[in-house]
Amino acid sequence: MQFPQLLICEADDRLKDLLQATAATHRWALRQLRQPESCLRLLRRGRPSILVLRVGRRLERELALLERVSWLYPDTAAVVVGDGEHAPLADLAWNLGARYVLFPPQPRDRLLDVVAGLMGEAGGPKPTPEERKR
Amino acid sequence: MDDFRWQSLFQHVREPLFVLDRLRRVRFVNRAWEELTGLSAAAVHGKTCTRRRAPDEGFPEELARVLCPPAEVLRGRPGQVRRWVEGLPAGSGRRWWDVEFFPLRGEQGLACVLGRITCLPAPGASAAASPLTDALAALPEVDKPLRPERLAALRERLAGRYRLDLLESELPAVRRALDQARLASQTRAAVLLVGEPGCGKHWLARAIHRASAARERAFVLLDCARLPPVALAEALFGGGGLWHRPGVGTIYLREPAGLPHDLQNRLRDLLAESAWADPPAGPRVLAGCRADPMQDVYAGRLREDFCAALSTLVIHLPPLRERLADLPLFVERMLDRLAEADDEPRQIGLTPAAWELVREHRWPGNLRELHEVLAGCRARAVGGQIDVADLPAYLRLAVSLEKQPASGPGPALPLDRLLGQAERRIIELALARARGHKAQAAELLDIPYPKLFRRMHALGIADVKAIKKRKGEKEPDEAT
Repeated sequence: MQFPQLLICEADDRLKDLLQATAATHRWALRQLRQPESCLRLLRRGRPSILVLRVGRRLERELALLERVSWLYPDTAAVVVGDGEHAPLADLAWNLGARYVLFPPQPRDRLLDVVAGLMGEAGGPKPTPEERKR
Repeated sequence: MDDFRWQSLFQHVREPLFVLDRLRRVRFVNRAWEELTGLSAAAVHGKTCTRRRAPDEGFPEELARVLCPPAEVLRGRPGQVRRWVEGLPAGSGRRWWDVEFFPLRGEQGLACVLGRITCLPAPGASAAASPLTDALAALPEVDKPLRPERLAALRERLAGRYRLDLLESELPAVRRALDQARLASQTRAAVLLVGEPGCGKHWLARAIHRASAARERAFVLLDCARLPPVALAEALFGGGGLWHRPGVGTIYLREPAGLPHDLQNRLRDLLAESAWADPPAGPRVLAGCRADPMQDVYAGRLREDFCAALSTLVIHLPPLRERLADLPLFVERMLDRLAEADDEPRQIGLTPAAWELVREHRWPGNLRELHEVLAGCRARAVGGQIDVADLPAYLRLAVSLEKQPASGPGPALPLDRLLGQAERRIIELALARARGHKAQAAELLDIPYPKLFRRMHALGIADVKAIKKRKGEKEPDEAT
């Protein structure tokens, strides 16, 4: 059986800390990556996957990764998160195939709802009612 | 055809034209081409257009790359690409070129390729021309900013993948869908794409967007079934929402029945407003449904008025099992894509036996299933060929079950005997109700008494009352 995985690509631990509980509740393996290129290696395994990509520090590599993931692994949902309000960059991320783009003024907590919603359909065991209450 | 004939036909045509031979060498360029590039025909004659190796001496690498036709053109199919060009003619800025390739066949196959170049407006030429390209100037200062040429290369790759001409087919249903898609790309009307999961609705939506006037703006996919309603509402109508952003050209709603009804109502109203506004406001809307949308309407998931607003044009995409003639092309493109994922040159194909199984399979998961199967096979294949043993077990089993002949013609259905049995049963029932009185039984059956007598004799139904009378038995009502 191929267990689903949540890949988080960021330079610090903020998104990982935010999503850790959600991943555990839905029984998805959480993997944190510092280098965008490492994502492709993990996606080659063919598991159901969600990629959360924080953009803004190395735009070329980040956007190139987004474009490659969207084309080469169309069943992988890529969620792009930005730190500053920037509509053109958000538009670019949508155009390159992001499944959701979260930039201010949207609250960062919205990411939990988005990832949980994507997990629910993408695969993996569903959380029990007791687990949902936690 | 010699150069003189090309010259006499195309020299004074206003559009930049060029002719390549089957080895991709320049054979002819017209005056408009010379003015566009700043190079003379004599300087480029015989030079090879290539993307893979160093260009010929005196031939700019940028030009060699831009004029190189894609693989399908060399195989005889027309093609179109968009290339980002810088410095042609020398000293000029960055421009998008749309390059169309028309292969011309001779007695021995491909004879030459005729090419036509269309220059698109320079970025920033008008406020509404290319908001997405103009985002280059507005990107934030970061440690390593995005170089314009890298962004251009990204967008060029994207543009090359979603071309309507890639849908060309001999199949009538696909050609109809292609004609409809071309029509859709010329308008802003809402379009509903209907087809089984995995048959290519998202791809077609992107291709329509890419062929439309909104191509320079963003294409946004919203997965209405998987994203939570609050996230969808915020994305569309929150502060700086997609609906009001000038950089968004097309919104594609995947499974719009997944939207909550309040969002459906709001979008319905906005679509109606946009249809009457001059100029039209808001992005163009495309939607994709996996089944007949009326099923969602009857089930109460999709509002009928919203469905009608999305269905100005409805395009049906046939499933893969009805497109088996296109299967070789799909397999080739997917193997190319998989090779790209592994950063390897594609050197893998299918054995004849594997091809036979692939053609026999019904592909319920359509193109998505085909992609997954090929991805798995590629990992298992040995020696550059995917064989039957590399195909997944379920596929081999499904094909072998479909091929098994039926055990026989099935049970016989003798019509006369079955009718006789039914008639006998009805007559016996009538006689039982009439306590053996044949006249009453004939009345119950609504047939003449002689006919009942004949049918009883023919079917061998015993006249119980007559038998009892011969035996001297008394009927119950006679005994008392």
